[in-house]
Amino acid sequence: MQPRSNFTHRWAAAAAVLAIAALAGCATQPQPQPQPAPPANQGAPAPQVKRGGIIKYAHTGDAPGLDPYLTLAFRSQQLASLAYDRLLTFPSGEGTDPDDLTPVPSLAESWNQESPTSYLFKIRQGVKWQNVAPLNGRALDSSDVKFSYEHLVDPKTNSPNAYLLDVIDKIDTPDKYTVRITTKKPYAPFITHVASHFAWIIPRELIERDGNLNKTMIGTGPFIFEEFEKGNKVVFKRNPDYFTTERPYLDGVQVLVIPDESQRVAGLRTGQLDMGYQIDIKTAKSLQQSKPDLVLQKFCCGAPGWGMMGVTHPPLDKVEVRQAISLAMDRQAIIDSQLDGEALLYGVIPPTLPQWTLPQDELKALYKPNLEKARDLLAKAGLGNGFKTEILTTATYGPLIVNVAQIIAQDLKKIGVDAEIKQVEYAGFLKAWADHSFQLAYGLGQFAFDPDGYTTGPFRTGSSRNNVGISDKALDARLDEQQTIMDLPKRKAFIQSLERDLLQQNYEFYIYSPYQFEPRQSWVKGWSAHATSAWPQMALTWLAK
Amino acid sequence: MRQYLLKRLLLLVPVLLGVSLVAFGIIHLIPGDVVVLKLGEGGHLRPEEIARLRQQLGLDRPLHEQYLVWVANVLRGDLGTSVWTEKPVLAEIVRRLPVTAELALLAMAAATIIAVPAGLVSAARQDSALDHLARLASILGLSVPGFWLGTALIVFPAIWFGWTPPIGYVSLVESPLLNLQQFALPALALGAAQSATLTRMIRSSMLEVLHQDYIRTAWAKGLRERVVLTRHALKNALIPVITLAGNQLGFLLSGTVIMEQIFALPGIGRLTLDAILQRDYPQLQGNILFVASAYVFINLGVDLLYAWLDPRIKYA
Repeated sequence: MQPRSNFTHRWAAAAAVLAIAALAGCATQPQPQPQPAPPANQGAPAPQVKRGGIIKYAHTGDAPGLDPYLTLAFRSQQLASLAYDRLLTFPSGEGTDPDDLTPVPSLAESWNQESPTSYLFKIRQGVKWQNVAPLNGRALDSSDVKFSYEHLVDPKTNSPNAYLLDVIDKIDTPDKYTVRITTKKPYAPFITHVASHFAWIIPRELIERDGNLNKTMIGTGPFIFEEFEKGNKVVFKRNPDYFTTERPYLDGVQVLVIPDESQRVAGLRTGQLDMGYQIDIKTAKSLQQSKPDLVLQKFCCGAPGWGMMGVTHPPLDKVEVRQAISLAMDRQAIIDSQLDGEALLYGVIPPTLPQWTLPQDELKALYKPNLEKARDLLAKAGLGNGFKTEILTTATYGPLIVNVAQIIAQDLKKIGVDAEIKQVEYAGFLKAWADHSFQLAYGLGQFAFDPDGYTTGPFRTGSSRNNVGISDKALDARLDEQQTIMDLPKRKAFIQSLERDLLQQNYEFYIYSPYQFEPRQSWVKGWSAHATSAWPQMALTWLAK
Repeated sequence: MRQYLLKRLLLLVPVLLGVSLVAFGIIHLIPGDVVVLKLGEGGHLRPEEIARLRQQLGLDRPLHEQYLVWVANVLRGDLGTSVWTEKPVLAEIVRRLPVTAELALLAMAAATIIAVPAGLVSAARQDSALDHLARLASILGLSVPGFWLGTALIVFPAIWFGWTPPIGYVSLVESPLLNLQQFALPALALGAAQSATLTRMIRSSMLEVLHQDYIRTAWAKGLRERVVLTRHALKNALIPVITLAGNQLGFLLSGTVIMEQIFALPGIGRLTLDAILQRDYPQLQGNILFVASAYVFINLGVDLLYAWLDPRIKYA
């Protein structure tokens, strides 16, 4: 038998070498990168989408200014959501849940928490600033993110929104599309705050030129700002270079300032207006009866009816007195008489954060009026004969708030508390907060993106939002602890326990969380209201007319 | 007359100084300032934040110093910038003035068109059914609140006819037709109240004139009623009415805020209301000074017109 030929050996060796090489190649080949998540707005348009048209949105008043960093006002943030973007956003548009605050990619195509205090964001490539001088359509990069966040938290900016991100310790930009943010401590609300409609990515060129963003708006957003006629309208046109190339569908947006509800309703009734800001519940129901084709989106929830008890003013410093006051209030009767039953109860955290709010059944039981117990509590506090106090309120929010304040006063009368209504206008209302000069105050609560906003803000010692004036070290420790709990179920249990304890203390009192009714014509498609009130979904909206 | 004119112009100085003091002082007396508003919406009111913003806005200086700086700037033609929008105050006033002026003038025109024939007929047919009707209408015009009438003029046409005035202010230059459609109803609502006052004034003035000897002479000469009433009586009866109309016009310039609010017209009334609510000190001070000046000049113009119309009047 002839020995195996060299030819066979060589082929076998070659095959072995190839096999080894192939295996080695597989080992060193980079792991396939996870596909960048599409931006929240991306996707091919549905076949029936009609491009073009200018949407006319009726709003209740002017934005106080164009710079979204200098104001909390939702009207300014709504305009900002047309011209600017954030690293992250919340799902919005037709088919989404109005209360969905799950952060999703926007300018950041992905993010990763590297450690309890370090976050890595990958910036989407190919995003351009709007083609308006001095930006002139240049590319967005990581330095823009660094600039924006540092500007937001800079004390010289005086931003009322700085607290959202002032946990940032430093921001590194290893390359043009990577941002690493290190926080001073583990901070559970961080990613939600990055997605909030205050953490806009803004152009440094405008800050360097104008000092702030009040004179114009140039962002990376779906619409380009054209003009701001105070008292009349704000006009935007389509951004043809928007990073989700199929959108926006609209040619433009006109936000019309129409303070009087009758005219807004008349405009919707006659078809002159395409959509409008939330309208009063009774008006909404009457409008729907006479114009059944109008879409009236009911969603949870609008600004809650909320109040404070000034604990620096005796006898409100006594927990028994505060509990008695809360027990005397008939919240359900207020909801039924003033809101046609269209509201939910809430305590500390409203139902706009559904995974954190307390169950309705629990709140119903807690808030059931009990005048006898209330009187006993007052007697225990040495005030069996009642006492005089004052409810500070303002008509700036509308007649509903004043009506509710009057009903509260009537409820308190039943337990011997003589509450005089003191009605002031808005600036005077805020001044009373700053001076801690109110006894009871009733108005509209703010919206917060994370339970931290409803707990640390109002109750922590030294917090600029601690208007009630409390200082409780044990409470402070718990508030600090909840910020660092990253495990969601664990944090939920902790927060709800905190809510229950705060409800026993009654530093604040909570009356209702109202459903909102947002009107739009039947030809407005792609839109869905969102509890944050911002408008990123305008990029998904189109007019079927 | 020249001396009179000069005296009136010189009197403007102390009047406007007084107005500027009131305009400056009154806004600072109201509780809460722009700093509280800018920071306070979310309750972010730390003392150091407040102090920093007050310093940035120049509000940490003593009031009298702030006033003097403002007056010095006004004398240079600079009314300052809005603390919210940072736009020049004067530019904003100039932008909004045509809206208020147009509304005021159209309201006066509507009032005159209603009041002159109503007052004339009412006087000529004293105690007749027409007279009673005109007087009832003028009482209604005085009694019915302007905000109710304005709202009714929006709501009922929308429900009955599916029509509402074009929304979103359009200037007369951009589109005269759209503009007049927008202004027709608010001018009517505003003019209704003015016409009530004017009708009563024209009626009583006409009644006085109709009892004069020269009117009796005109009747005796056999002149037709139309000639007696319009050519002889009305012209003389209108002299005191012009004074009233001039005052009403000045009032309208500052009193259109309710109609501007209801019909979403961006005039000076709304600008002033917003400035009060937002504590926009420069804007509010500028608005008050501007409107007061306009009022004073209109009054001066009415006085001069009065003298020109009635040769019996001579100013020293």
